[in-house]
Amino acid sequence: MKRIASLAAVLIMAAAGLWAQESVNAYASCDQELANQLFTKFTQETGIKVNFVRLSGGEAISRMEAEKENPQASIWVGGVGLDHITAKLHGLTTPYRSRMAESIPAKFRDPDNYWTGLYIGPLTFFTNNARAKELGITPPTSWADLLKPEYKGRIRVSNPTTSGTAYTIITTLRYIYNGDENKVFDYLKKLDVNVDQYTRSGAAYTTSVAIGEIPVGIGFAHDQVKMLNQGVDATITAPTEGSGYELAAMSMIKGGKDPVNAKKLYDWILGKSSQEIFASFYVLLVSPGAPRNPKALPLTAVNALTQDLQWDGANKDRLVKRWTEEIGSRRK
Amino acid sequence: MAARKKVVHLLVAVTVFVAVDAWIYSSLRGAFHAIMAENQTKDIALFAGSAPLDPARVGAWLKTSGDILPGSRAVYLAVDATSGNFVYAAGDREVDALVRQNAASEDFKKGLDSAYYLEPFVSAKSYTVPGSAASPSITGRLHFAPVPDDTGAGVRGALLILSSGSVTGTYDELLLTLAIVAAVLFITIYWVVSFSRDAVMGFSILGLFLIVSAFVAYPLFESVRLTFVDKGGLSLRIWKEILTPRYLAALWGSVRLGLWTASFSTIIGFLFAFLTERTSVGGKKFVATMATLPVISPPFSLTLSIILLFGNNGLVTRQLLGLSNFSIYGLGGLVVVQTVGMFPIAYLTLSSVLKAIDSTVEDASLDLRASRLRTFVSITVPLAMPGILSAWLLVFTNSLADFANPLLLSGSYQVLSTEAYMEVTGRNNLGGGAALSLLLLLPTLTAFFAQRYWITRKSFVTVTGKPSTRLTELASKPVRIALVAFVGLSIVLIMSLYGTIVAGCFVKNWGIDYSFTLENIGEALRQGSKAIVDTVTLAAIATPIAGILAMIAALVVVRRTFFGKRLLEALIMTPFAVPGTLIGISYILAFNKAPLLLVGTAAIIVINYIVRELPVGLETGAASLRQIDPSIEEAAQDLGADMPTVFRTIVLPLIRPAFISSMSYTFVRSMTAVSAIIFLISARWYHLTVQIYNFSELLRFGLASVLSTALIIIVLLAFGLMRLLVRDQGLTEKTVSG
Repeated sequence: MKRIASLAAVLIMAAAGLWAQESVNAYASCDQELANQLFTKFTQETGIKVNFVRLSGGEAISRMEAEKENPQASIWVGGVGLDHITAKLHGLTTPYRSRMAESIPAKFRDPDNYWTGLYIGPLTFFTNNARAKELGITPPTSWADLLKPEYKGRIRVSNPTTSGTAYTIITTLRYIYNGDENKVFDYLKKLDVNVDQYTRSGAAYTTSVAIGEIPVGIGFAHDQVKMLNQGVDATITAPTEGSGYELAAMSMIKGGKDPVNAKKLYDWILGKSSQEIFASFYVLLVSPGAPRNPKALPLTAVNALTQDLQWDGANKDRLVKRWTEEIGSRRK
Repeated sequence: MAARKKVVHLLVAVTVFVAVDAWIYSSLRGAFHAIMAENQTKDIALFAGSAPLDPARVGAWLKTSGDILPGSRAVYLAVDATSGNFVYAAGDREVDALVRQNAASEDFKKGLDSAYYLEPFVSAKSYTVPGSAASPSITGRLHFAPVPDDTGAGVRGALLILSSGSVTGTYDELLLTLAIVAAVLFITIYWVVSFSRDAVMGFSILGLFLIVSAFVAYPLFESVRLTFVDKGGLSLRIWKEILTPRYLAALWGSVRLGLWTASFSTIIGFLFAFLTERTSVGGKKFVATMATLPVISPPFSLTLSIILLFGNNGLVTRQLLGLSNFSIYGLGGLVVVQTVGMFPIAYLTLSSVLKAIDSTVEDASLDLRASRLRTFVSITVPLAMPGILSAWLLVFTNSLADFANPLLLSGSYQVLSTEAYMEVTGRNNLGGGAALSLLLLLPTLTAFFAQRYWITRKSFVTVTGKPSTRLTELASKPVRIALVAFVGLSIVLIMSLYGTIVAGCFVKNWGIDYSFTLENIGEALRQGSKAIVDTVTLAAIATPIAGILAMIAALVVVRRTFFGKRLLEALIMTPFAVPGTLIGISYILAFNKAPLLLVGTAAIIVINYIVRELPVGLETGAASLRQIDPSIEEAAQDLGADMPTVFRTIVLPLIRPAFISSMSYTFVRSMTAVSAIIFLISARWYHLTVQIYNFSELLRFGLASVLSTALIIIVLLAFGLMRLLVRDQGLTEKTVSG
């Protein structure tokens, strides 16, 4: 009995210790490992604990929308910038003009300070060399290539309902077709025939391609470069018609608890301490003078499109709904 | 003696009530204060924003703070350009002295920190400033308000205002009076009630009713209501959108999958059960273990093994057999995975049925020169038929509600549970998600009622009173060999799936690099430790509560008759037939607003576990209670024991096996839950299965394997622990009267 009592006392003290610790709740839409490394280092340096859930961009928005009256997190780190624009337009985030953001070029920041860009990454194709050879296919080099019958059932990409990566593909195609949405959806319907599965998360295809589960995947270059550097035998190709790129961003969630800790995290992520970690994930930080991994794929290696992020963000709901109605829910 | 006990009970009840009362009082008071404080903070922030840029005019401006907060005393600290610290610029000297005095305290550090980050802050403690020539002494909280610079991004200074919170005084008094009145009323009523007979039972029934109406009826009602509401008015818009061919196709997809899975699972379950119950083959214990193993397996892990063994580039399909156009994604793969995961349900049902069949009937048939096949077809199968149908329907319900497997393996095949999930998590269309999962309720409820009220009533199992000690071997040698071969092959499949999981822990990069490594373990535990701790904590809290609640419910249902008993029973059983997706959606709908604001807390997850596993606990508890003669309890009561004593000293020891099994069941299901939990997790409370899902979707097989293995080990450890804790008192065998 005494032992139980002392055990209980110890547990209560441990719980009280946890209780007293400063903490902040976060949603992370970047690579889970990246988030984990960032937050761990932040906790080491500041003593503020970060509780986080990894959610795809669309999921994060839905969750914030559902929790509008009672926000459960205070900061949203990573995820395609378009989703952050959508969140701003839905009134889910709140402006914060960080001192650390001053040096970031204005085109990578929200004019009203609702979000700050962290890094960019272009859309590229990822092909498993061994599987391609076996199947007698070559890595696709254009968006048009992807429609060829030889890729039937051999492409994996994410679902625009949940993933910002997939929505970037839709907006990219819209720029390629000069804004003709009917042509875009025509293309997507033809692409649908070749897609074997739409995944929830934007980077889910990378390991599938790496182990040869699927020969071809579409997504952001840094996830693919990371795989190559783990020893995967695959090829990265950029579409000749042009690549859209993501501007991964960060926002403060409206009404979140512990805003001071969240702002400390915000500043810290924009500061020097985090940059080495980002660089080790092969992303291209937008902060001037930030270290860049020599193996990262620079924007000059692709035919980067000029994008109107504000328009793309404002039209997300409509285009994704159209995708769901015309493609997503019609699969058999 | 009895009177003294009642006094103890009274004290316990009063303590509980006073605690709840105090909690309500403090939350109401807290809420009111929060609103008042928020208004005050806003006012102060506005005032701080109006600070003049000219330092010479700050002193005059500060004096007007009395207009905003009567009787308050303020000081203005400016940011020193060189040191970046806040230094005194203007205002009340006494307040400044207080600031200097406390500058190192946690409260002040946080306050000035907040001002630096442009956030308002109110001190946690109260402070007193002595009176001066100009103003009287004052006690209250200190407000820290940032004064932003002209860009709006930087901070120029901080306004610190001390104000007394006397405005809320009368409200507090009123609230306190009400709380005390409530407590007094309760004590009186309880006093009266406790001197009547069997009051505890009455309160148990009342408590159960409260629990199920708050956590079963209310959320489900909210779901149904939402599907008929559009922009605040009554509307059929959501249903018009849902009842279109594309969603009906998904419904048909779910049903078709259910039909296949249920049929295969029942056949395989029957063969396994026949082998272990009706043949003289050795190694039955091993077969039985293998057949129940999938019950404790974490979701996603079997699916992942299937992908890695039989996927497009799977170890078996591709590397061994060299197939290149074989696809596991879609209906076929789903049926295989679900059958492996769900045939144990059929096996468990059918083995008990086959065991109960009286072999003498078969002997009679054989004596009358019927062949073994004819005996099997015309005696054994018809006798087992209710069990077979029942098993089929149980698997069917489970297959329809299944969510984890289609999420990874459906390819382009559509099922309702994942569609509903996408609707909610991807598009925040809670109404659509609720409607889709209600659509799913149609086939599941049909199956549930068919199983419960039609088939189980038609039991052919005859109890003769003279138990037959030997079972007639019905299977001839070739049949037996075929049976063993089939079961053996199935076990090889099951073991290869589990082997893949265990092997995956130590393989560097499945599919690319098969070399041995221990890195996965460190990495997975580093990334998953929070999820493991959270999951175990939540399951450990839910398990005993669910176990005891289930036994109380069983006692109430079996031993008492009261008004509304069938309703109570039906409400407790509801979560069993309702797909987890619907429960999850209903919970976020119902508990994201006052009065039960639970989203994001541990409570919502624990309550969800308890409510979902209560039906099975009630069934087990009720089944074993029915076998116990109520005269034992009556005897105790006649000797003066009251209800709680009877429950503790008679009922609980007698139904100990049911108690343990219901707790074990709750624990396993809580650890492996996914369909409802995926909606309820938060940054603060995470779940292991969701973490496994994240790794699985990324095909991070090593990490998913380690976490799955960890989960299995935890479940097995918990089983052992539970057996130790609820020690057998050796009463069961001796006192059950036949």
